[in-house]
This record gives sequence, C-alpha cells and structure tokens, in this order.
Amino acid sequence: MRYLKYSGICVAVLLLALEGWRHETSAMDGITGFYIGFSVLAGVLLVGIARALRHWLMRDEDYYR
Amino acid sequence: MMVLEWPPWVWYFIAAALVSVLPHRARLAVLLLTPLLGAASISTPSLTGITLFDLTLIPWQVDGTSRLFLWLFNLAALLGAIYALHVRDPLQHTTALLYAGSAMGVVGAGDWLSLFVFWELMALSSAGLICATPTALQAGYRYLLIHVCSGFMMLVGALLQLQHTDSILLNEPGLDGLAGWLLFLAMGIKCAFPLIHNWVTDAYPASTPTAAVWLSVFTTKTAVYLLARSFPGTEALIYIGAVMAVLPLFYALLENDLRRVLCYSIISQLGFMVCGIGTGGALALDAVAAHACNDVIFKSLLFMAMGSVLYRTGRIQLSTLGGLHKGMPWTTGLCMIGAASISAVPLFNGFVSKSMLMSAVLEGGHHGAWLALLFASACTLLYIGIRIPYYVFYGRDCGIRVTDPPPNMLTAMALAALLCVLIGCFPALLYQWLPHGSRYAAYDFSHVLAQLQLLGGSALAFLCLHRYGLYPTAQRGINLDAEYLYRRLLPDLLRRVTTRLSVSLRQLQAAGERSYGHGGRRARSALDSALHHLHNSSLAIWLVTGVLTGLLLLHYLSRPV
Repeated sequence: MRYLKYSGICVAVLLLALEGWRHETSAMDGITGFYIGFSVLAGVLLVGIARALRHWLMRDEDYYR
Repeated sequence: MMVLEWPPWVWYFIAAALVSVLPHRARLAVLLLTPLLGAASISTPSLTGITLFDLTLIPWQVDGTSRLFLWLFNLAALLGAIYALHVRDPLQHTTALLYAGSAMGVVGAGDWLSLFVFWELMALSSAGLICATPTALQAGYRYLLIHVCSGFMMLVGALLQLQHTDSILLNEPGLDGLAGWLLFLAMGIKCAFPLIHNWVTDAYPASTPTAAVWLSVFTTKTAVYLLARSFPGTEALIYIGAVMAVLPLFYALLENDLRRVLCYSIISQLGFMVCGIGTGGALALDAVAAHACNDVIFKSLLFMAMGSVLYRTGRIQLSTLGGLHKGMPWTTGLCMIGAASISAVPLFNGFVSKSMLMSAVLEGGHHGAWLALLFASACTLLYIGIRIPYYVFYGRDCGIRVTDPPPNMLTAMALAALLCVLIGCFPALLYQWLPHGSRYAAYDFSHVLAQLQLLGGSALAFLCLHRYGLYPTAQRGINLDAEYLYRRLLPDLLRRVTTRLSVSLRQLQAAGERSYGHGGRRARSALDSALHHLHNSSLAIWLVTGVLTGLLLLHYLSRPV
C-alpha cells in the first residue's frame, strides 16, 4: 500500500508537470492543478458527507419488514 | 412483405412464445438466434396507414437515433442471452424476450398510443422477470405499481395531447401544459428522476443474477431515448440531471449490497445523460446516445461480474466478500475492465463518451452542471472503480474458495469487455453511428491530461482515506432513501388514520347495535374487514393510485372538446 501511495504521488507530480502543454478548453484549465485538487477535494467531501449521513440513514436490514 | 421486414419486436414476441414451450436445447437456439434476427430486421420500412378509431398510427418507424438504440438493444439482448444460457427456467427466458421486444417496440413507435402499449408491456414483462425468483415478489409488486403509474400518466398525457393537437403522432410536447408535464413525469419515473428513483435500487438487486443483466439495460435507456426525442433542450433536465449524477454517490459509498451499488451508479450515469438532453444541440444529443451505448456495455459487464460472484459464492454483501481473485482470475480481470470503463479511464469506452458529454455541457454554458458532473466523474473511481475490484477480489480474504463461472457467463463478459476496449481505443467505431453526425476528438491532449489528473487525484484521495481508516467500511444494514415515503411514512400515516377511523366507527356501530340489533352487528363485521385490509399498506397505495386516476380522468373528461 505504501508503494502505491508513493507511486500515486509521483504520477500526480508528473501529471502536474505536463500542465504547460495543455490548451484551455474551460476557464478552470487556467488554474494549475485544478483537476487533481478538485478530485482530491471531491473524494474527501464524498467520504466526509457519506460518513456523516450514515448516522442518520442507517437502519437494521429488516427495517421495512 | 418479406419475413425480414417484420419489426424486431415481432421476432422477440414469437421467440418468447416459442421458448415457453420448447425443450431446453431448442430454447437456447431460439435465445441466441432472436437478437441476430432482430438486428437483421432493424431496417424494416415504416408501418404507416394503420387507423384505429379515426386515429392514424405508426407502430414502427426508424430514424438515426432509434436505429442506434435498436442496435444497442439487440447487442444487449445477445449478451444477456449468452450469459443466461445455463438457466433452465423457461419463465425467465420468456419474460426476458418479451421485455427486450417491448423495449424495441417503444423505440420504434411513431405515435403515443403504440408507445403506450409497448410501455405497459415492458412494465409487465420486466415485473415478471423480477418475480421469477420467489424472494423478489414484494419488490416486483412495488416495481409494477410504480410503472403502472408511469403508464397511466403516459396514457392521460397522450390523450390530452390528442385533444390539443388533433394528432397522436410523437412530437415534442414541451412543458407548457398538463399533457407535457404528465408525459415528462411518465418518462421521469422510468428514468429514475430524484425521489422517484427507488424502484431501481429496490427491484434490480432482488432479481436473479441473469435477470439483473437484462433489467439494467432496457427500462432506463428507453426512457433516455424518449426524453432525448421528446424534451431535448429542456432546461429543467439540466438541474435534474445534475442532482441525479451527484446524489446517488453518497448512497453508493455506504451501500453493502454490491448490486445495489451498481443500481446507484445506473442512476448517476443516467444523470449525465439527462444533463446532456437538457443541454440540447447536436453534440450533446450525440454524446447522450454515445454514453447510453457505452453505459449499457460497461454496466452489463459489471452486473455480469457481480452476478458471477453471487452465482458462485451465494453472497453479494461487500462485508462478506474479499480475496476472490485467486479462484476467479478471469472474472477479476473482466470486472476491472468494467470498472476502468465506468471510471472513464482513457482507452476504455466510458472515457470517449463521458468526455464528449461534459464538453457539450460546457459548450452549452452550463458551468454549474459541468462542475456537478465533474464531481460525479471524479467520485466514480472512488465508489466503484477502485472499491469493487479491491474489496471483492483483493483486500481481506473471506475464506471462500470458488472458481470462475461457467463458460457461457465468461464468454458474455469477455465480449462486453472486448467492446469496452475496442470502442475506447477506436472511438470512430461508435461515432460513425451517432444520429447527428457530430465529430469529436476524445484523444485530444488536454482532455486526456485533464482526465488523468482527475483520476490520479481520486486515486490519491482513496489511498490516503484508506490508509488513515477514514474510508467507510461496509456494514450490514439498509440506508433510508426516498422509498421511506411509500414503504414506511405513507403506510404509517394511513394506519393512524384508519385506527382513528375504526375507533369512531365502533362507537357509531355500538350506537347502531343499540338501535338496530342484528343488522348493526353485520355492518360492524364488514367495516372491521375493510379496515383490516386498509391497514395493509399495499392496498393503501392502490387506493391512492385509484384516487389519482379518478382525478386525472375527471380533469380530462371535464374539458371541452
């Protein structure tokens, strides 16, 4: 798992380095590392909100029976 | 008329009748032959000049969009048939063929009345397919009820449309009047709009492993086809689509039942398509058609992979699975291809259509919707792309020792996986069939880089969250969703009302008995019986449906002709 994490970071850095060759297709393309930052944030938000929702939403399996 | 000039649904209906009576081996031949005959007869000329009660009907016509969907449905039927070859239950084969044929009837219908007939046949046959397993009877019943409501709205909407336009032919009704709204909602139910989406997550996971593959294809894609045909460029669809794309992600992440996770992902991917329909324009509608095609292929593959796991292990709860890759190496590999496709990894088919769709939404100037789709796209890797392959086939070893499924199931999965890779590597194979002939360069450097960054960020988030124990673990239980309204809240409310009512009636009856003796006692027993049935929630739902039906018919009949 540790190696995976480090290789993931390396790939992220490499992808960031390629930014210079990109042509803008949206206004967000002008922000360096927008897509990486956005997806990390999206992942954290998804997990955070889902964990919070679990306390409200989770019931026993036979709840509707 | 030449034999091959029969519409494809005729072949499917004939085949459905045959498989119900033929012996097993002959039944398999019919199952495999039908999609081929169906595909060969797509170009059947339009059936026109049919009149019924002075109405001109067109039960069959084909244009660019319907041609693509008909090809797609025949392909899906072929995959479903191969996957189900080991099944010896004629009921499943019969209902599956009827279901596929009805869906093709909807796609080929040129008027609202023909469409309604196929729409209802589709609901009935798919409910029959769900109910093929006794444990799914309740879910199938709820499914049928919701879809009958959809059919009813479709009928009333079509009648109102006829009243306003003097034509029953398919058109773009718009959202200016009641007719348009009823048709919109009828399609919205089948397309799993927010708050009316739970029939997908309720019924599909309850069906058999083979039935789920058929079910995952037809109903929702038929609704997408109809929305694209009847309501292109409707702004409301952009917001509905954005909500559909994002909301199910939270449920999918918490869900323990793997097929229910896939159902939430169906809704999320439908959100992408609905957003595209709302955007309108040639590029967006072509992107919707392309994404519908790709979604059918990779979602079938994922349902087949999870069906194989269920078939071999008898389990489908994430909390009870893990480490299956040693015994099921082929299923693992094929499932990973499906996961890569749905996550829109470049060189897989999901990328070539999702990228096109998001570009179309952005070009339409809908930046908010584009951000919502980007959020959903980034999270797809997190809740399905990594989660399913990792926790089912790797991760903690659950101790189950099983092998790959039978050759027919593997063949169907391999064919779907091959299509995922072929379309992903050579998108022109798909683009040449698009109805509006849009040209799009998916493998533009910026698109690929943006997608790789998006996926890289998601993978990084997963690794960090997993490492620090923040990623939600699978837990036994259910998560409350919109179905709470009709499975708990409404029945509870009705129970309270009927309890109050019964107390009042008993008081009334006691007074009646004092006045009328024996007659009063008989009236009491009849009332008690009625109240007992009213306590039953399903009867209550039928009552609500009946009242709604009455009101709508009254509205229709009271309008001047």
